[in-house]
Amino acid sequence: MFVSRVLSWLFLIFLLLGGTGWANEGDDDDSASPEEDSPDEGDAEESHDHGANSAPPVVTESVSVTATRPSETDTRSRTEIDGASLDRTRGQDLAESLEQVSGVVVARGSADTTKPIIRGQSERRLLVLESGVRHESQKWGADHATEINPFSAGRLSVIKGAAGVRYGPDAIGGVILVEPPRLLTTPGVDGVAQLVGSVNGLRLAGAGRLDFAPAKLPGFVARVEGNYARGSSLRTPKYVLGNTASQLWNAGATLHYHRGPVHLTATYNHYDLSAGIFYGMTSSTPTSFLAGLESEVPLGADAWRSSAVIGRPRQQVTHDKVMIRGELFLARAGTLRATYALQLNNREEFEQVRASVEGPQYDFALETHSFDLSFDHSTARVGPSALKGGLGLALNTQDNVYRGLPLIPNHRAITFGAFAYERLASSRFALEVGARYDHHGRNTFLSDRAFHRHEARGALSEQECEERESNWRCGRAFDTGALSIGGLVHVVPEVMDLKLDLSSASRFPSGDELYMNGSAPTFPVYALGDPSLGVETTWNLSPTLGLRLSWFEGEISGFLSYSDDYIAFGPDLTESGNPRFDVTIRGAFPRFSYRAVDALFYGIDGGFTIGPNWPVSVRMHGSLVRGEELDTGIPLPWVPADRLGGSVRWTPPHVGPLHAAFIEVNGAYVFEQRQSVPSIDLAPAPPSYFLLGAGVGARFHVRGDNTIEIGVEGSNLLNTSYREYTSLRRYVADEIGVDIRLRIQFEFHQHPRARSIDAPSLEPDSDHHPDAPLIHHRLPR
Amino acid sequence: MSLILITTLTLPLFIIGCPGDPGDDDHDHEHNEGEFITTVELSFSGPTDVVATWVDLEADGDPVIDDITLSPGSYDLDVRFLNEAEEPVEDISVEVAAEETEHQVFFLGPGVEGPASNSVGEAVLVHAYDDSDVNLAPVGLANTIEASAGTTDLQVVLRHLPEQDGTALKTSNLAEDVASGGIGSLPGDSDVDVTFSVTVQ
Repeated sequence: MFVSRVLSWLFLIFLLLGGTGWANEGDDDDSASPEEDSPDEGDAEESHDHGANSAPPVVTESVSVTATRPSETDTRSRTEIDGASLDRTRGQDLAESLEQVSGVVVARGSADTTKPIIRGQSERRLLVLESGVRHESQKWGADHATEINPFSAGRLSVIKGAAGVRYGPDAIGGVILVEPPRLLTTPGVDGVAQLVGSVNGLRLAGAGRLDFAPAKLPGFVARVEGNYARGSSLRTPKYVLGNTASQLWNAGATLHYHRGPVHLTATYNHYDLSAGIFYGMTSSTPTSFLAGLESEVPLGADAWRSSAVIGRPRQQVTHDKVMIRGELFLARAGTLRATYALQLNNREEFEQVRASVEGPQYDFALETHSFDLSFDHSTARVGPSALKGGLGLALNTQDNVYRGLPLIPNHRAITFGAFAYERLASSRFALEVGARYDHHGRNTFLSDRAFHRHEARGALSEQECEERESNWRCGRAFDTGALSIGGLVHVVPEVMDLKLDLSSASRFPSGDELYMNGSAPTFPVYALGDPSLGVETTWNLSPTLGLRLSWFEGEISGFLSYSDDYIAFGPDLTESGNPRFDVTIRGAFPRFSYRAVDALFYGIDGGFTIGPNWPVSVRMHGSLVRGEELDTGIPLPWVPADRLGGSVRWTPPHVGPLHAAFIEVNGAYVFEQRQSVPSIDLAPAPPSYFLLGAGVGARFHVRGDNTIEIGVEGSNLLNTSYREYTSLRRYVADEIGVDIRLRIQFEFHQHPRARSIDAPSLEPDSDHHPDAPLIHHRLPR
Repeated sequence: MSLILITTLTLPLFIIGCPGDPGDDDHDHEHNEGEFITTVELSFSGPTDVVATWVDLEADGDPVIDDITLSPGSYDLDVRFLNEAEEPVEDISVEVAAEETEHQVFFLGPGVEGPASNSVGEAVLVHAYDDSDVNLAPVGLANTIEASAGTTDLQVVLRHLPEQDGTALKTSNLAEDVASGGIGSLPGDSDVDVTFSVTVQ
């Protein structure tokens, strides 16, 4: 019902907008066309940053095609995944798709869901931007997967480290940019159909996308897309993970219209996940949990069967997003961009309760309206250098309504931000500076009981809150500033780059950190928030060295990041150092609380490829992260263990209709996390492990531009039993065993006229254009 | 441009059924889908009639627990689980009885001798089940107690044992498993796990 309402409104809006477009027909040269905006090499990068490619600045296409080597222009460590690298991950979660980037680790939750970790920072400290819109969800939860399906992504980018100026609050540990494939620029129809099947969990996924650009309606472009995936319970080498069946579907539509300098885009996306929570992680009482730690095989595992039924306990999550963007490309002045987005995130968690109880036990609804306005001035020449830059405003309002067992309170918040940045670039160097200010105001509504509970601890007082009819309104306001200075030197142009970035980012404490009061459904602790927590600010220093030779490509990046008032979650100890317990009707739970500490994170990540253009190439990559509390030197929990990965790949030459064929063998070695301390964790870190994988794939051209691509990917081929330190599941069960994934992709292009070199293919690939330079950033593969 | 601005500003008014006003009392009220248990009530009837409760209305880790004082002798012990946060008070034990094949109450303690507990030394309380489900496995809502002079903790555990992938978790010898391996050796999850202090004199 919601879907149809939204679609009908979008349709109505477009009738209106379309009408205005036609009214102007005929006066073509009333304003500068964006083609004249002659963007330079930095342009592609900046347009990504503001999500412009989602609503493509269609005419800058020809430039973007030759300027998408992001790590060469961004002063931060940044990696993109697109084209073939992204295709190989189709059918997987966002975090799994990003895992190929060094420094990114996947945290698996209690269901068939994942969350990304970048340089040791989990999603609470990451920012996900989809089409340039901040993804707003209950991301604080350790088993709340990111509600984004990468099936509909045309490119994923990872920015490692703080990037608060450009992206705003939460961009402490990094930013993940999800951008849809480019829309059509020439009249015609493009389509993609994909089918992915996995052996482990008998998972089947299908996806389709259709793009139209009718010749009779110049300037009008549309897209519809959808995908569906269904899987049964996953299998470890020794047993089935009971009740890990899942179902996910997405649907979306985009309408775009441009005329002269005006570009208008509207999109609607719906995400719908239903996932069983692993039976082994429902024993949330400490006694059962501790008993489970002792046994190698989870209790009751022999009864678990691979089943497609999604039973209780389960999660039911929907995310709806409507985005409307208007862009004005002015040749002399620059680009003005206005974006409005509405997001509704609904999360329901159903515990394994008595059969008479039908509804969810935890029900979160989050409604976010955001309005962003930015202006990027056109390039100014300063001697031999080019100056680019811009400024912007961001406004965001949010309502959080929670119903269920005692956990978190409701809130209503408003955030306002303003930023500006300038970038001076020449053929030898680039310098970027920026600044940002944000204000966040939040009213939290606490029940009488919750208020008095915090009051009794001395954490809240009647002066700080206002008593209302049946709840207490507690207001808080936060102000933050962010700065960034980045430098890039092309030490040897086209061969060696050196970058140095100093950036800061801030984060406002979330509702759970301030006011949580209850036992979490999957973690056997009693969690208590601290209403006095303030803003967490991170300062990040990161040097990056990139080298590109005909036989060698590599990048290595180090980082040192200091967090002021880092909000840490850990056991609450009595004065004598013993754990404190809260006695509930379900037993005595160890009390965990949030507290602000000064934290230091540092590490190094990177990778290199030997013979990137040779028939046989070798790739190695790795990452190392350390995190500690500065005052005590005690390591922080949940920081990923050190890891190394490598692959050998054979790329045979083109034969007949066969293109881009490859055979690859890869391996990953993950060390034991020796930085784990017993007093801050409930179990010791799991031992090191090695995983073997392989992939094979090829593309066939059928009748011109139409292609069929087939690939097989194998993971954990040795069927190794292992546990991953960053996964919630590690306390009770192994990760999944061997999996073989088969994918078939069919792409077709129907264009009345020959496509120009400028016209984007859906998955841009140099293979289509043998004369084009090799433009796509080579990824760890 | 102006049109899109107007549209963007008015759109939210039309599209979405709001999740509700966060400051609305109705939503702020903790609305629990019936899973909530606030109170455990033990009713001893025998030489002395004693009703003892374990109550935590706020579920905030700060319960009020009655101490239990009995005279030596034979008692019937009935157990009730209540949700006193609701108006009227909800008797959860009725639902437990209705789902008897998925629930069992266990009684343990250092001075408790019974199917689920081996007394350390002289038994203060000797427990026996006085009810059973359709599969003839005990439920534990009705019990008998033999009290002798002494003091002990009495731990009362309500275990929820729902089916998993079509396999019943509740079997007839679970109490014996608890006696040998503790509560942690059971499948399922504890809905209630409380401890009373008992004095028999």
